Amino acid sequence: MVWINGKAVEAEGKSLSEVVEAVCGQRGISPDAVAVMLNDEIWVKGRWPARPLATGDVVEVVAMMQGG
Amino acid sequence: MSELVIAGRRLNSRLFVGTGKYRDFALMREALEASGAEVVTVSVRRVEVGAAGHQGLLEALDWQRYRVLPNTAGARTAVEALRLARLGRALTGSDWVKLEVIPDPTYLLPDPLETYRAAEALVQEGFAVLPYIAPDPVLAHKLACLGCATVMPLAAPIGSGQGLKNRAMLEIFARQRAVLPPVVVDAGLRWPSEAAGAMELGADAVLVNTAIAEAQDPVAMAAAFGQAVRAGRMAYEAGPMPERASASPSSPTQGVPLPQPEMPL
Repeated sequence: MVWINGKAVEAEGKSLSEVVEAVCGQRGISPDAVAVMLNDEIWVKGRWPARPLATGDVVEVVAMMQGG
Repeated sequence: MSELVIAGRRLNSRLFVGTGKYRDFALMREALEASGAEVVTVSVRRVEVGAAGHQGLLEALDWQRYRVLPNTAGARTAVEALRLARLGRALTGSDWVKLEVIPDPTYLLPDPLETYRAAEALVQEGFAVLPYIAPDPVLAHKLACLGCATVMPLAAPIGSGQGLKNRAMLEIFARQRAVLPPVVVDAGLRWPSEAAGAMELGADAVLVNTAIAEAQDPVAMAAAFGQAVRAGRMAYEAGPMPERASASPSSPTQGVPLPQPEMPL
């Protein structure tokens, strides 16, 4: 399983960009508007690594949200 | 009115505003515009379906008009704050970070030790650090020595609307302005008069979110806060009259046209 935004998902073999686009698509947010962290390493705005995701990878897809 | 400069950037407004708790983006946009604020805080959150407040903000605001200030809200430790700060920088392209390290969910009081540790690391990583702190002038001075861009003492607990509860401590901040970076009073205000009061004490700026977003008319309240902050700063720079223990008549005491006892009438 791959951890995507805190949830275990069967995403082994998918690319990071596929996963990010799926997460963004569900919410209607442009992939250009997010930052992505893979195993504590930050990847910015579309320049995500091409390697396929593997079991135990942890992916965070974040965006600017409302806050004080 | 004198200019406010933070981390080398000249700011047009001494009112900072948050983007949280608005009913919708249209209302938020209108309120932000009415406030006249330039610095606007945002949070960093997972892109999730069905989570409240999780609409993306990138397209909701004209970021040419505002200076984005990502916060580390949600961090309970220095390590967590570093993670959120780095994500915030990646998202916004801004080196500015409102550092919040808050382990206490009831009063949302910041952890001074973890805040200090996180500030030390973030300054070394090139961030302009704006730390949210309890109104502790000693901690503020230590954060200043680290190279923090501001200090942000709380007036009252976040979102409480209790007003300038920490007035006495904020007066000490004002007296120590010479050894502190800009002081931004943050959190807990309810009325514009409280923001004006903080500015009259000598605060360099005020950050407001809930008092605007939860007002019955957020747009009018935003404008009121904007005017209050300007008025408070102008009054501070104008300098108040001396305080006296007894009254001092404003009208001349001589020449009052009333009968004297020795007069025939």
